[in-house]
Amino acid sequence: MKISIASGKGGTGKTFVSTNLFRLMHQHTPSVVLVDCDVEVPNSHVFLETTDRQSHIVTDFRPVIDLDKCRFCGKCVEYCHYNAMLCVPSAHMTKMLPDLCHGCTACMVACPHGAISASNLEIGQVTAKETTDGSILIEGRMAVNTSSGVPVIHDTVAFAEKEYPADYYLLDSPPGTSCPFIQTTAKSDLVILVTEPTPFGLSDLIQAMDTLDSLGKPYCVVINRADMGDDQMEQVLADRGVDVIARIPFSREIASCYAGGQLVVDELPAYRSYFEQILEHIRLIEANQQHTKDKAL
Amino acid sequence: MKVVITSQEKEMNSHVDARFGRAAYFALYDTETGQVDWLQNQVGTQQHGAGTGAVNRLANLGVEKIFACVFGAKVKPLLDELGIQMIVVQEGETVGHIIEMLQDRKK
Repeated sequence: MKISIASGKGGTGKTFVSTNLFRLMHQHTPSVVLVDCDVEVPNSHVFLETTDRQSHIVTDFRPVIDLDKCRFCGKCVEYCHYNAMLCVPSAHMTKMLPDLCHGCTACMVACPHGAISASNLEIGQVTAKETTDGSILIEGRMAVNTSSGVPVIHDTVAFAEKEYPADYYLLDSPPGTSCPFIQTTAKSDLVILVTEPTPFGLSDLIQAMDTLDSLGKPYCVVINRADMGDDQMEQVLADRGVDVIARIPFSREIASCYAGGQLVVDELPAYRSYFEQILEHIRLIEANQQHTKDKAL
Repeated sequence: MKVVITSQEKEMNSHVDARFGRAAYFALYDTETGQVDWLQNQVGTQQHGAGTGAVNRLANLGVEKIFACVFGAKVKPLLDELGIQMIVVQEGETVGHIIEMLQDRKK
């Protein structure tokens, strides 16, 4: 089962929830892997003492144009969906723009003169890390100067599933509601949206929920710093019929623990119950989904 | 010489479109013949690379100068490489007024 922990608004507590849930879950069900999909700034490793087990570079296709073979027919421009190719015969110019290129290879397929060949652009790195309690963190990290983290996220999740088979994967999602969020949540069985009861939190949560609705993805909500802000959020969630599976209060102790790179489920046992709650809901949802699958057969 | 002025509509008194890649129209003006053609910008509503798409089209039409209010970061190096001059005009300018100024400079 793949569970994404996402949000909408950044800074609501995704990594706080995913790392603590991971530690607790591993104590109950060892067959769980944490996958850090926040490839711009993967920070789950901060909270887990890890050693690197293996690592590989992620590359993406970029075309190389041989101007000696190029006849400036413009077919590559015609085939490129992303306007990443430029062809100006009068200037003897055929050029690819790497920031717009999505690595689809259509230009190479389209070229009738064999003027386009493949090159590999380094776009990131995936590392498997082992923690002191034997659990595994798979971390995806974008290379500096790369315009999109989406292919790195794809590789990270695929690598985790292939090399580290487990009953559960927790995917720590990037913030926001655009392509990196969709790439992370798209193949999940459940999305846990972590939010805060403020106008910003609510606005971005609505965008996240609308996006997941259009993807047909099941989700539930954890409200972090639940005793602050206003009650608009509870109203909106009640109206939409969305399950709130935990309400974690603001606590200076929690903030201090997190700022110190520590896990709350280890250092502040009083707060373990919130994560037990989240875990229980996951089990319920899993059982429901299994029941629905069994009925369909 | 052919020059392009970005435009919000297809009239001489149209305001210059502040944007380049996503401009609504391109007024293609030939300084020799005085002819003005109104080109609808097809790439303006495409999701990706409107700037490169526009550069591709205008460069292949032999345009030597482009008048707009803002040029994006990705098109500047392309236009430089192609030797196409970028001229920044103030918002509120009209296509007709720019053409007038070009005609005056010729005299």
